Amino acid sequence: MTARCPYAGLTVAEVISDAADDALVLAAGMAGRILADLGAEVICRRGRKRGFEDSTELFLSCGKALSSEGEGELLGRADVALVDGATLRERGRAGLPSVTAVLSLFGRKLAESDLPANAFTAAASAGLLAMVGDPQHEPLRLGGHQEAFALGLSAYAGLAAALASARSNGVPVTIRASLLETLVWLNWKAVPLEGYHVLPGRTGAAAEWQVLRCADGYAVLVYQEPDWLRLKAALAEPALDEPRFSTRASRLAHLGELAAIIERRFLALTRREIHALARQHRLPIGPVWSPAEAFDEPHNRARCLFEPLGAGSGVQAPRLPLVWLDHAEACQTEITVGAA
Amino acid sequence: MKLLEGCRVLDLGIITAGAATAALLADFGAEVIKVESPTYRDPFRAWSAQDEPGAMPALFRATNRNKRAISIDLKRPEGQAILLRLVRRADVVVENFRRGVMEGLGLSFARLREANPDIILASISSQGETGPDAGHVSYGSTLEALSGLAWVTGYEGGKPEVSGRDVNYPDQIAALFAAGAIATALRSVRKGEGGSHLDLSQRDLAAFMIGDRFAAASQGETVSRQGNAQLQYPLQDCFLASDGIWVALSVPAPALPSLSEALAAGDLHHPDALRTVVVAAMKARSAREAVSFFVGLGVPAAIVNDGNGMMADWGEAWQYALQRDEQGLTVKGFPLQVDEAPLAIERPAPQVGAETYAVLAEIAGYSRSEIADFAAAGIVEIAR
Repeated sequence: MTARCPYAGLTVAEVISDAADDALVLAAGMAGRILADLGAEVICRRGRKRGFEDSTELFLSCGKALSSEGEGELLGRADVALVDGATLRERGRAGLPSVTAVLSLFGRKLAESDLPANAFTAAASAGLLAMVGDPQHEPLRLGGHQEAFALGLSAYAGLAAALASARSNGVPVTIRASLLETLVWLNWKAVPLEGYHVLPGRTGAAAEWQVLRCADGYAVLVYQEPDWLRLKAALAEPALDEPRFSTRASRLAHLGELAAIIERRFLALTRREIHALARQHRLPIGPVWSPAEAFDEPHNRARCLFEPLGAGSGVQAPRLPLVWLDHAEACQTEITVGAA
Repeated sequence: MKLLEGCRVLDLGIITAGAATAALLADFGAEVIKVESPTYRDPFRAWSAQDEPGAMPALFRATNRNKRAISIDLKRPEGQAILLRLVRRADVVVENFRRGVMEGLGLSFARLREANPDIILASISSQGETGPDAGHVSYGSTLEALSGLAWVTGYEGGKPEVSGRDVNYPDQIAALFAAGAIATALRSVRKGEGGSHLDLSQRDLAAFMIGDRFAAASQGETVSRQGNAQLQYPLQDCFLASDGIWVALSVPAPALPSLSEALAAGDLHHPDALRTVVVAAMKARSAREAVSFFVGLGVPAAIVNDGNGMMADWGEAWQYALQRDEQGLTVKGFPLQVDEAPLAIERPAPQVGAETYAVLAEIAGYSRSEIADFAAAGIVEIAR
């Protein structure tokens, strides 16, 4: 594996105003973290104490510098900036680097609004909460800081496109990335697309893909129609041969019974055994690993997924999920391509 | 000038992760050519809920706008040669096939690089190019389980949860990150560092998105499911309003005095007392009234929208995430916008092989008779 640093030599400023919601700090932090891993010098302005965990701060600040210098001075020497609307209003576009991402909670008419909102209420507005969890209970958010980090990915994508652009250096590029636009974009299948007559929503025990108990935890039963015969073969459970499970329509009509039968079988197997069975039968069933367990997962170890967060800290976290495969290998391969 | 104008992408991507990555590159201005085969279509072309025969399925239409399309039989050496000629004139190849398919087609990175030393091959896979699970078939929720994301999602004390097949969260974020990674690699090429093979694993990405939870676990902290609660809010959850609609609410500590005064509730610093008061306040109001009441007190609150609710906010709280194509049909829009080079839907999703002739003639430089021979032999498919 080789790593490249295409942003070496670039200075990136993360300047989110103290009044902004934590989601924008987290999003800028995620985008900045990626740019730092790709070689940029990323500098964060020291702001007010935020409400998120120390481990979040540690993860996002890896590879960055913290600055107490004035906002104007920092933005003046940066090539790229991640800012919020208040910072843009205060400095003006001319007071920001030529490549700037402006982060907000809302898009369109409400982009400048200071309505009280955050990542959780944005997930509600974007329909994401309505898609996760059990219909008998409250709508549920995804774990961690998914909404804010996804906004960070949006900002990164926009900045990366700007920094790859053949536009002349110094020509302004202003990326507008809002939490709500990003979440609606992610949750696009929830809207009433033409030709679909049923709105998707959280289905809980009525879902085809279910989280089921097994001998030492949980596994997610995931399968598509072509997988059904292999699933039956893998589980070797005679009840699955009954007529009520013979077609997808009949299985959908008996989802609860189906899940109960499969769970009974799963309860005799460990997650490791289920994983082996899934691999053997080419089934997309996934054992649920905890973060603590995932550190020792053979696949993650083989891919060197985890690395220390800073020298000597003893803290481990996933590396940037981008591997530049060794192209020396390609150079050594002698392959003749026909003339064109 | 759009940000990626002048960049050419060969899109072998299918379904969401690959096809949506290429779509985002097209939105940034790249010329994206979707490559299908007379014997293999993007499966989204067959995932239809419509009764109308011949209608383009909504999922395909939504994900493949702004692209051109060609059809080449990549299982045949002549088809591979055509693709390699296109690779010579392209900047990026995007693929998300099962691992080993590209090599099986004779289209390994080594071979692409031989054709074009500056080519970027973006391999967007479930579990990466290497490792014992690399060949293991999986969908988005499989990866939520394996990555640890499912472990941290769920009701307090309950079982793990996944986003499910209608969200397929890892597929969606993969497209966002992969588009950025490809643009980063384009910058690297422009700096003279040559082409590269990008290994973009959705499982790795899902783990990265809970990177802070791993940092906590590595320090010995117990990482558990917390429902909707988050550290910085004394109370954050969804509550049923009087009209049976869910309202999402986050009560920040500084809002407690004003909330207490408005609800004549006394000391709300105890979590149970706060929850009791909020539940009662919600039950006494419709969802709209409740949102208005709490927002007026500086407390973040929003109706938990379904798809219809999302659409009702279009043009007010968001604008670009969905768009209409030239037929007025709903398609995926953009997660972001660029002031100086606006993203826009400029062409609808193409039929299979809609521009095979034009692309082979204009870009690959084949003659009319050569293309006719390819078509007659079934090596390429030209839309009628």
